[in-house]
Amino acid sequence: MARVVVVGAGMVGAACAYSLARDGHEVTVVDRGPVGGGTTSRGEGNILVSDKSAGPELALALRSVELWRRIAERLGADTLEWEPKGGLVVATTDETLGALREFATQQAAAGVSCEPVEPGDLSGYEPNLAPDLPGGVFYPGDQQVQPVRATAALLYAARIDGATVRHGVEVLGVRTRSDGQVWSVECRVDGAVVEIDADAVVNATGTWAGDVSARIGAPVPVLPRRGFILVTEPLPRVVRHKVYTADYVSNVASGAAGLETSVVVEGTRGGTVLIGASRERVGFDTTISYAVVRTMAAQAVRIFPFLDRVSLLRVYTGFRPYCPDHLPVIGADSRIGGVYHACGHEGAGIGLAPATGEMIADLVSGRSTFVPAEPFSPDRFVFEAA
Amino acid sequence: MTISPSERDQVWDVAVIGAGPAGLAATVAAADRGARVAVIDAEPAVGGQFWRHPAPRHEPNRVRDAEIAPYHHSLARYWRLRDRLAQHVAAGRAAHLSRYEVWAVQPAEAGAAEPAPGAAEPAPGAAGSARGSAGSEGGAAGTTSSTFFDVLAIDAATPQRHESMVRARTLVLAPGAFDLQIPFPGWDLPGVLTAGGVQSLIKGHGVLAGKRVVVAGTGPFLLSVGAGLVRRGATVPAIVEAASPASWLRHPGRLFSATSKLAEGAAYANTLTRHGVSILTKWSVLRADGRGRVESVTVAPIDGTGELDPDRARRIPVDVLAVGWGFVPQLELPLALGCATRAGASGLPVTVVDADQRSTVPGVYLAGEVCGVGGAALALVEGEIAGLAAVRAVGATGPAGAARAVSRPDEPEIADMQGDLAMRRRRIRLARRRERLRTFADALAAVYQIPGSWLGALTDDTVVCRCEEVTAGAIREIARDHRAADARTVKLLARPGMGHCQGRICGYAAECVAAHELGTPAAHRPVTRPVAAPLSLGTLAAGWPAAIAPVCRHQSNV
Amino acid sequence: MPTFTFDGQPIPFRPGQSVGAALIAAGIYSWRVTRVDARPRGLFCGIGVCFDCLVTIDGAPNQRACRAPAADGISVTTQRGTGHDDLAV
Repeated sequence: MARVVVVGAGMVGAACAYSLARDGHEVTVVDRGPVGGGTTSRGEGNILVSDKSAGPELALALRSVELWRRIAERLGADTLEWEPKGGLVVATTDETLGALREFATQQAAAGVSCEPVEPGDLSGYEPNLAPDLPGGVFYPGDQQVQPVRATAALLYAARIDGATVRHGVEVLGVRTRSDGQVWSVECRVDGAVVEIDADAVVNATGTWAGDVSARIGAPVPVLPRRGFILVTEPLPRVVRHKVYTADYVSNVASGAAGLETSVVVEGTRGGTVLIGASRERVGFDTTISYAVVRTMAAQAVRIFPFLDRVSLLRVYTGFRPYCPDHLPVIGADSRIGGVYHACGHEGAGIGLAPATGEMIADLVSGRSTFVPAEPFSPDRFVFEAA
Repeated sequence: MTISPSERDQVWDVAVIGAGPAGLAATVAAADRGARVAVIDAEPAVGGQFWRHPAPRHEPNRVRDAEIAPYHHSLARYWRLRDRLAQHVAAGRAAHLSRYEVWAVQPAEAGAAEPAPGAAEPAPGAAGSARGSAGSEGGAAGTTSSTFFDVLAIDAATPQRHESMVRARTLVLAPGAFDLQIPFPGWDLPGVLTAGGVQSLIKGHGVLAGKRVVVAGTGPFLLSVGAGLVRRGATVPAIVEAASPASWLRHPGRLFSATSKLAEGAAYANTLTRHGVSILTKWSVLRADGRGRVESVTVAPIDGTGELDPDRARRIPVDVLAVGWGFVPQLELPLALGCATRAGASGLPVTVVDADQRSTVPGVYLAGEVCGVGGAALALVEGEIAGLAAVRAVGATGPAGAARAVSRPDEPEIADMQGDLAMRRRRIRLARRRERLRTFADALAAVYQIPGSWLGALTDDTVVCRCEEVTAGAIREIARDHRAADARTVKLLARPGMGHCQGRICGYAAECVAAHELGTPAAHRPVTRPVAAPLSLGTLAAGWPAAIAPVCRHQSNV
Repeated sequence: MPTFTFDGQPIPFRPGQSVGAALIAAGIYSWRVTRVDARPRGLFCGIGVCFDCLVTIDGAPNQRACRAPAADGISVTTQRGTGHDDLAV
């Protein structure tokens, strides 16, 4: 069994630690901050298949949806605030509806279950929806968790399986043996430099993965993108599913550039309603401003008119760490033996975490992976650079 | 990028947020020097919490003022500032936007007639976000900076809570503070009020919160509240002070540094003695009890180990319990602009300012409790310094020297020189006075520390977060299970601070409970809240609000 | 003296007073029932910060009683839970 240091106590790091510890590896999770304090705490907790077109990421998402179900069974749905509520994507124009239906047809061919919803049936799904929407598509596979609670629960479970979790530990680099294999991870703890012996290191540092990968001598291009999430006052259950506007689909179809927001509106166990930007498929925000917040509010009110009189309690900034080719980096880095990456999930990290963790554990344990790992390999950047 | 003359007409020289002692002093100081000033405040009348008084009514001012006089100190100063502001408003130099709740402030760049959506607006809360092009670009004649700020405010006087915008070249933020609260069993019973709440009922509404009121917590403010209650006819069975102010005697030098403050305290003490109010020092609240409403409070002495001694507890029947443990500075707006903070005397963050009350963000000045809790006298001084500094930053842009016109209308140049000299002397005096009052405030804070005894008295089933109804036990469990000691992680895992008040009330306590559970010190890092006042999504969705432009009636009069 | 009603009961007030102040003056200390444990709540901070004193005024929920000015003829009612039960699905 390997001694594995997982860098990052966020959602992806926790999922890696969970799978690695269940495999019997000696796992140490290190993070300079608290549990789920970075990228994880700044998302909505989306577990989505609805926004993904056929391809490697969809395969990972479909696997994750299944794994989230199993995790919820094992650790308790309430602990994670896991809700298999399904996603309803609504169009606001006939043109968008056409693009959405076409997109859904392709997804169905790739194994996504989805059902077209006629305008007259929308209110059956969501009674509070605006009555004049032309239609939508329902995706029963979409789920939701409270991301920080889910992260804490996975880390807790990993600890029961023998993992150690250390906060306040900043990774400085790795030391290697003469054969180039990882020997230890160099860290700073309370101002002192310490080494943690390791056979393998997993870089699961989300938004900071670019920086951390450079520190350990195996750089991958992960860049942060930011967005907003609006939180309302507590409400009774007013929205049953995750509800999105389909604008991201038509944006893809039209190749539109510039500011593109496509809101997702969803309830939470705590009673608040979250209004976030759904995973963007085109360039979203290098800009963050109250102007974007206003646009999001307007889109949310457009599909759920009752929100007009609901109070905004807070706004927080979301991080979306992305790679230039918009695919996560998961797998072994061929430059340093024992270095693995698990990052670059671009706003889908919560959803894709369990399958990512499973893939890392499979690779570290020397098994074949459930979902083909090749498209996610860090080597795509290594060879690109060379 | 330059500000065109037409745009400049849309921009105030100074926007002051908060019309308490600090904001009022800043407004008057700036308007006196000819600046065009908008003062934005949530209350119906200027004065803040300290000089809170009923909303304007039909009877003459003096009648109302006489009625409230016994409850106010330095009222003469208040009248002067209030009347001076009224003159400036009448002359078109200033606007008093009352009942406006500021929900956001953001830096904006010159050149856009309307805020351009997506035009280089940094993230709220991002450190240094306002460090833009200040002074780096050629401005129109007379301008020293092309940066300006947008203040977004909700008009609470309209049922629809309309949004408005004030655009200004400099900001003076004087949002004040609210009572620091710590939980104890029964603290969420109706009839348990903050000391500040009890005081505001008396001062602002002429209402006695209860007939039989125990005042508990720590700090000299408790004496003021107790005195206000007994003067109005309430029975105050006890004032329960957790600290031991006798330790003042160890700092005799400080005693003489702020004699007027001491005189104020002595007057309260006199009133309390005359009404036979006993003051229990080194005692604190153990619990409050009642069925659907507070009926009694149990208080106990703090023993040598720093814990409450239940064996010597006393149960006192009350109909209201007033509690206060010092004050929490309202940092939402400074933090939204990226102003740096430091740990204040109470351990809670306060803002960093220089000798001119300048924050670390160019163009943003801070005054009053946000710079460190220090009371009204200090706030007045800081406000005046900030107002003067803000005027210097924007240059003389108002009517050709409002102050000069008053003193030497025939010989403006001599008046200018005299004005400069007087101004320099004034600034030196203000700096000295601020130093003295700050020393006094720090000494007070050192005496009136919150004792740790409340943590031991806090039962697991006591609600800590009143909004989300999160108990101490739930916080302790989360802290233990996930080694979560910082406020943010505790909030994300257990929900304290997720509700309507956004942790303003429970934030301090929730972090103390978690940290205590893990045996670590509470960090009390500043918490950003990009939505500083409630507004509806409909208001947001309606798009950018119209700007309230400066009124310049004086120009047409000349 | 002008009055408003609280759950149907007439409450006199002096102009300039808040709804919360007028209720306290009338000896009423709670006007909200919390959404989790159904606890009674009323005025706490008294200055608009704590949102404990939320109340329904003329059908509009979540008004801070400490800030809402009392007005002749308004109907103030106890708020239960989020105040938005009408929206539940």
